[in-house]
Amino acid sequence: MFLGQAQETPASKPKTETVKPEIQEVKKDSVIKTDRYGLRVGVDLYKLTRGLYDKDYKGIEFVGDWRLTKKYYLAAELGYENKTTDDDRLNSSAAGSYVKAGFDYNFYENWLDMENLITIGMRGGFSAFSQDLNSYKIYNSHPYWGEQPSVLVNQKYNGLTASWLEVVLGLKAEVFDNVFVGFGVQLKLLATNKKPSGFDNLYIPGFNRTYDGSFGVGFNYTVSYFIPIYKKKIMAPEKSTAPKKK
Amino acid sequence: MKKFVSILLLFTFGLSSCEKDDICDANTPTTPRLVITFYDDIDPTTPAPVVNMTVKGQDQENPIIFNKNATDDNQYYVNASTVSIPLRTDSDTTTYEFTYNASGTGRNTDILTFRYTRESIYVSRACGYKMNYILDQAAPVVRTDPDGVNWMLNINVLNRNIVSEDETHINIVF
Repeated sequence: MFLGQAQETPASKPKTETVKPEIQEVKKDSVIKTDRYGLRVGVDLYKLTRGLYDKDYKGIEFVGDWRLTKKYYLAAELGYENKTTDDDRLNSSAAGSYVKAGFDYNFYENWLDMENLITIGMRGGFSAFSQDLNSYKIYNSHPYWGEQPSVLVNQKYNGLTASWLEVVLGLKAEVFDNVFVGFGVQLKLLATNKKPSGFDNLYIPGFNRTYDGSFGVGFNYTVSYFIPIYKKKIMAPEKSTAPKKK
Repeated sequence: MKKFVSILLLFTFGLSSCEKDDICDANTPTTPRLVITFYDDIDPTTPAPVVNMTVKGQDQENPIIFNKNATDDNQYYVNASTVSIPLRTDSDTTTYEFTYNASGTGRNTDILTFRYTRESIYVSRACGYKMNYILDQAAPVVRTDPDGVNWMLNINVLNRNIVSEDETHINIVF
């Protein structure tokens, strides 16, 4: 009897509990969540610090995004690079500015009022630059007369341009109030490439190293600051309180 | 989230590992050699092999090695009708001593100086530049003879532009 009673009482308790969530849910629906909208500006730490330990590199990249909707962000990067590429047979420098613009789509569902981002996005990039051919070697597979030393030329090629498309995977986490650190990788596809006559664009600022095909890669490590400009009130959807699926 | 980060990291490491594509492919046409075809005086239409010929660059210690697998002096002897020799990439002239029958008692040396202009041409990141040559129009080949008897009877420039090893540039009748 005791046991029966003991079982009955817990059984009756869940009944009250199943009622309670209904009340809670009604309450949650009435809770108003706010999304902050604004401008996030930052800088690529990798490019900024690389100049300290790599004497062949100087560069800077500013990043920015503007929240358009709940999930879409307008995004852009603006940068300058001056890089000397020392290959086995060629030594050349590329210097110039670039701009990239496009969008990011945040597919990360934040809990409560968190504002982290995992994004996939696209950019169009454009670079205007110059190239210096510093020295080259003659490739001779029959070096009977000995390997000739590098030929110094210091030939400058001005007025070069290139444009490309990027798919960007990114991650931004808020580490302090309004301060985000981010990491992103880019897969690039060269669309136009104005090469100098008698030479090639071995490095394109913003696009990075060129390969035999038209693909390229890149990454950045950013720190940025979010400037809130306005808030949008939204009803917290029920789904957001549901546990995250693995 | 963690899964995503690890995929992201894997992706970047994967990219950095395929950086090295900087080896010049052996099939890429680079600096061509001068191609000489020999003809016998008796039948000047059919290429004829020379006999134990050596080709030594002036002021070089050893002749050009034609048979890597042979031992001693045999590696310098060529018994073919077509011979390819490298021109200097750092000078507008290259001088070679052609010795016919270098192994025997009837050896005979003729000295040829090839005169040309050079042009550096970009190939690729991995290969760098190559050199092409244009043989001088007025005097492409200058012959001197140290031993008083020429074994080469006639030297004809077939193709002044040395851009490929697939064609003969000079015909020599002996």
